[in-house]
Order: sequence, then structure tokens, then C-alpha cells
Amino acid sequence: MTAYEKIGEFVKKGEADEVVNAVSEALAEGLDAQEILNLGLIAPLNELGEQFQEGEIYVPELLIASEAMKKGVEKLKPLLMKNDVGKLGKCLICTVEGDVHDIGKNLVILFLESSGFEVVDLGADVDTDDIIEALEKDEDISLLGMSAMLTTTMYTMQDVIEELKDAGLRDRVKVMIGGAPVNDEFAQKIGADGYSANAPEAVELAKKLIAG
Amino acid sequence: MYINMQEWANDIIRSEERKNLPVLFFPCLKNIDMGVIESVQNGPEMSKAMIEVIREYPETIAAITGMDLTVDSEAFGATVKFSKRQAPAVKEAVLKSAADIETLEIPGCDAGRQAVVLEAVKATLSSPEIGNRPVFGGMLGPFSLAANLMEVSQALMLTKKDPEATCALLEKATEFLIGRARGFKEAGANGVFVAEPTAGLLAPDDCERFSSVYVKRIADALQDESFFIILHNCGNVSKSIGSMVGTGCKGLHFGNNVDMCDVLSRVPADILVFGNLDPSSVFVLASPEKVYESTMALLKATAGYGNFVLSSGCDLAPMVSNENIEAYYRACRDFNKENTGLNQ
Repeated sequence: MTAYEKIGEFVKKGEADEVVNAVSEALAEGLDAQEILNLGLIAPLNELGEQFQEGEIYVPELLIASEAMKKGVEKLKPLLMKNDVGKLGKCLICTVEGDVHDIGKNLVILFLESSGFEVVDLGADVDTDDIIEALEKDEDISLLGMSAMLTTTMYTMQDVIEELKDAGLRDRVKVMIGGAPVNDEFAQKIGADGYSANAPEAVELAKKLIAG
Repeated sequence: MYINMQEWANDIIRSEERKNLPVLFFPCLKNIDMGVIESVQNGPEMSKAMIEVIREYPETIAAITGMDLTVDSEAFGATVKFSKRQAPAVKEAVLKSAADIETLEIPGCDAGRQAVVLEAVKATLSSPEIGNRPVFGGMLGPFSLAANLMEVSQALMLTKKDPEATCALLEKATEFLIGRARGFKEAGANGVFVAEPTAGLLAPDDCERFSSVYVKRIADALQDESFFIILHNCGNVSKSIGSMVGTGCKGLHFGNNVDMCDVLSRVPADILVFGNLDPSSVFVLASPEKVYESTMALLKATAGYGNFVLSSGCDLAPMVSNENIEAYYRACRDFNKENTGLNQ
């Protein structure tokens, strides 16, 4: 078993301490930090993402693996080339006002970060004004991802898009949405640029939207 | 009002027409100019809303208390966010970590807004407009309550990191819920609707271990011919149907993540099976024509099963239009006209 496979096995089992130890060992052996990230941390999480989509694993397994993977990323962060972090673009992610659900949002953030995006996480139940303010303050952000778990909050995403237009931000910021009650049709209806059903799909959508 | 609930279920199964029970509390508030907040904080107001559902849509076969899924968590001390436009939500969990489980106290039946809901049940039972329909109380299932007490992501991960601690939390949640269901029974309710959506995120083995085992305890403690338990799980539970049947609940309510015919083929014919029109893509987003079409398609697909009861796949949001609700009922009426003698 290679060092990358060993790290990957610990990621899949959700054993965070073991992931950190294995990453440290790999670095001590002289392996490249970027390779450890790609092969030891991102690849196994992507594999789990596929198994999740196929209904072979469930949310708890994905959550603990994501958490373990995040610990490994933290260990590597100081060593990764600065210009590689966020090389794909900068995103703002949140769950909209009135909605405290954050599992899907957090998974999307992990997948985006591990794929090379820089992510600003505003958290859950975020006021529309705070979203606009954060986008106005940071001109590097070119993608907004919004999540809603409730049929009662999904239309808040439409309000945010309208506010983006009023604030003159809509041309700069692409918008993608996700969450249990929404779908592609709804995304089109409210004027979003795209919808994704899960975290792996969100990464593909983000890449597509950023590429224009 | 005493109703022999076993006979109630048998009558539905033998009926020549398809019965229906959508979870309709919040969308009907606009008809009586009532806001969400007063409907969940005031017993008589909640009762008015429950009765409005029956008055507006008399084909509805039972009254259900407002699907406010924060009452149980609030009793334990969770902070709840109330909003004019949407159902209440838990804002801040009670447990900061698994270490807090040991000292978590089980609240009594007077904690939080439990009395508000019991008052609504009593007022509804005494209303002539309810007729001979049963009245159900709504409450969370054990795993969903545990998840709300801890914060959902943390609770889901705890099932893997520390299963014993998860079980310790479930013991406390279940003891509370048995007390809560007993409160409904003593208030005269004819059953409870146990909402266990978070268990839908678990693997089948974990659904059995962390949900069904505890739901069964509630059913064993309280279900009898006067008290009927409907277990709701709107997750993708096609691999957990046997586990849900094993709880002993006389009614099972499913969301739109499962194929209703597949479910019906695997559930014994004496258990009522409710479901499962998508509360979002059908009820909120679709046109009335599409709602009618989807409802009729489900009715036709399930026509061979006497134990099927048409329903929404989850509780419906306040903004669901009257036109869409009417399209749903119209489809059921038209289906019944065309299919008189369904079970003959």
C-alpha cells in the first residue's frame, strides 16, 4: 500500500487523527504536499462522493470522512503553494435567511476547497444584506452558492438574486443553488445560473460557471 | 372522543374509495388570516387552523396538530426561531458535545409549548366540525429529536464515532417522547404522527439501531385499539422498509424519495401506507394542472392496494397555493368517481 493509499483508507474510515499522522509520515518521507492533497485526500473523498450518489454509503459516513479529510488539509495548508490555494476562483457560500440547515452547505464547501476553490463561508440563516455586503467588500468573489432546505426559504434565494441586481453585482457574480426542495427548473425560474443536486456535482458546476 | 382505531384503519382498507390525508396545516392558515407564529404559540388558534383544514377540505380523514417540529427540542431547552412566513426552526442546539449527554435532564410534560399543543387537541376534539374523524398529535421521532438536541451533523457523526453515546441520548429522547405521546393519549387524541425524517439519512442497519428500536418502544408503550401511531420518514428508505414495519406502527408515512408501489408491495396489507407527492416540486413549484396529473398518476399506480392513503410526502409549506391543493383534491375525487368499487 502506498502512502497515499494509506492516508486515503484513514479518510474513508473517518479517522482524523490517523489521517494527520499519515500525512505527517508522508511529508517526512519527502512526498510532495500537493500530491498528498490530490492523491491521499481529494481522490478518496471523490470516491466516497460517487458511492454516496450510488446509495452505497450514507450521510454520516460522508460527514466523518469529510471531517477527517479537512484535518489532513489543515496539516498541509502551510506547505501548499500559496498561488494554488483558490486557483480555481473564490466563492461565497451560505444557507439563506430563515434556514438553519447546513449539512449540504458544509459538504459543498469541503468539496470546493479540496478541488482548489477558495471559499468564504457565511454560515447558515444569513441575512440577504449580509450576503450583499460581503460581496461588495471582496471583489475577488465571482461565485455565490446558496442553499435552502425548506420550501419556506427557497424563495429567499430569488430575493437575494434580485438584490444582487439592484446592487449592480449580478454581472460579476455567478449564482448556483442547491438544497432538498429545489431543482434545475426552480434555478431557471428564479434567475440562478445553475443547480446541483449534491457536493460532487456542485464542484463541476462551479468550474463550469467560473470558466464562463 | 373514543374511536376504535383498528376499525378505522380496517374501514379505510375495505373502502371502495381512495382516502386521503395531506399534511396541510400551514397552507390553510392564509384562509383564516392567521400567521404562523400565533398558530404555534396559542392552543385555541392552532385548533382553529386544524379545524379549517377539515372545513375547507372535508374529504380529509383526520385532523393533525400543527407540524411544529421544534416543540420537543424546545422542551429540552433548545432555542427556537419563530418567523411569520415559515414553520419554527431550532436555532441553537442544547448539547455542545457528547459529554453533555450524561447530564441532560429529561423535561416533564409541562416544559415548553407542549401544553399549547395539548390544548389544541382538546379544543379540536370538542368541535362539532371534526365529526367522527380522529385527531392526531404531531411529535418528533427519537433520532430526529436527538439530532435536533445535538445539531444534526454532529449527531449523524456521533453514530459512527460513539454509538454508545448516541444510544444514551436516544434513551433520554425516547423516555421524553413516550411521556409526550402519553400526554396526547390522556388529552383524548386518537394517535400520534411521529416525524422521524433525520433517520432517513442513516444507513439501513443504523436506521434500525438508532431509530426503529426506539420507535418500537413508543409503539409498544402506547399503541392500542384506541391509539394509532403513524411513523413518518421522508428519506430514501427503500432499504429500511422492513425495519419501519418492525416498529409495529400501524401506519407508515413516506416521502417522495421512494417508489410508492415498491413500498406497498413490501408492507403487510393491514398496515396503512401514506404518501407521497413531492411537497416541493409538485405542491410548491408545479401548476395546478401538473398537480392534478401527478396526483392522478399516483392514484392509478397504487389502485391495487387497499391500504394506501393518498398524502403529501411531508408537511406542506405555508406558501402552497389553494389552486394546487384544490387540484390535488379534485384528482382524488375524479379518481374515486371513475373507480367506484376500488377493492371489490
